[in-house]
Amino acid sequence: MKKSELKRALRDAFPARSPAGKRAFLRSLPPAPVSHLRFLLGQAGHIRKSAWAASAAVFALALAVGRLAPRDAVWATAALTPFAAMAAVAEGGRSALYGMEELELSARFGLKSVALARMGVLGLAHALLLAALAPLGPAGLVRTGVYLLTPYLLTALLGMAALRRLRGREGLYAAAAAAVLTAGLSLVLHSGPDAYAPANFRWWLPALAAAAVLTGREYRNTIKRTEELSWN
Amino acid sequence: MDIETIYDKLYRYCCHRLRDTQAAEDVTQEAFARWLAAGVCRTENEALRYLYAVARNLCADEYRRKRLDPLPPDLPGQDIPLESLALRQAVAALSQKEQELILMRYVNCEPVSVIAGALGVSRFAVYRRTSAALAKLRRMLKEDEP
Repeated sequence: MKKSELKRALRDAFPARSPAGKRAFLRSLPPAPVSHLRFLLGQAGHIRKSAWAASAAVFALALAVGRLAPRDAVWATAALTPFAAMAAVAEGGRSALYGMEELELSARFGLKSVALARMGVLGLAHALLLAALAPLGPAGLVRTGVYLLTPYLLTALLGMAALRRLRGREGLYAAAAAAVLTAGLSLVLHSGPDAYAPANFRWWLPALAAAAVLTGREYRNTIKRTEELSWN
Repeated sequence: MDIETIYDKLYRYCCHRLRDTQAAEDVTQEAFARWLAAGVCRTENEALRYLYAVARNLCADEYRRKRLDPLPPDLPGQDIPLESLALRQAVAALSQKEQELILMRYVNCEPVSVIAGALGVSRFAVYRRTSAALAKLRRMLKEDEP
């Protein structure tokens, strides 16, 4: 008998009767633990296609503007990033929008983890897209990065605040309004005081810092709200 | 991680060690309960190492606790081909440790790292011992050939 044949034949050489209580036991088991990476990948699959499509559309539009009108690329892209931020924020508030919070609280993965994971995955994807867009502008990597990140964070801040205070569709509409408002602000800043000029860059850094701090605080409050919901 | 496949593998291992299906099932379930309570082992290989090590110790305890009746050599109502019968006899002639290695490596198809971790030996020792056991089996089967 060849070695490979012997290995195959060995599989029948250890007979065992079918276990009688296997089905009942396996049914009684809690679900197997899932690694953080697997959980994140799983949640990435549950993010709506429209959220990915919105992010891709923002990226494609920014690239097109960069190609067609390089001088307007920075402010135009800055005016587009709020819509990507809105997609991420809306994804985090999806459970509340459809009135599924209580159901998700009792699910295997709690509402807090799911909201955190989805917003985190989309936020990371947007960070990568913004990082890819930053070198395209004529203003240099750091300046373009600041110009793009500030409206993004501002929209995330306003959107999360709106979704935390208003219930259901009203919250979503308010978040959308915040995105439109921030995009409009970029347009005004460009056409009015020319805020994207190098001389005015010094005002952007405190604005970015404030937006980052306030967004962090709002993010914490949003998560805290889901904890309170869980406690109730 | 396919829990059902792991259950089947562990149950087969326990069946072989204990020669008692009920005791094997009890030990398999106890090993699973301990693994879940410990909350360790994220990957499948880590879980297998842990489960085999626990099952091995539980089998030793069970064996010490009561005298176990050996399984009937053949399952009722089964027609076993002559070649398979010779192989079973050859396997039965191996030492307990060799049978354990053969079962884990070639029947349950466990990676060497899992076997080494469960038995507390080096990977090299697992390679060496399984090769030696396989060679011994082939020799025995050759001797039986007409």
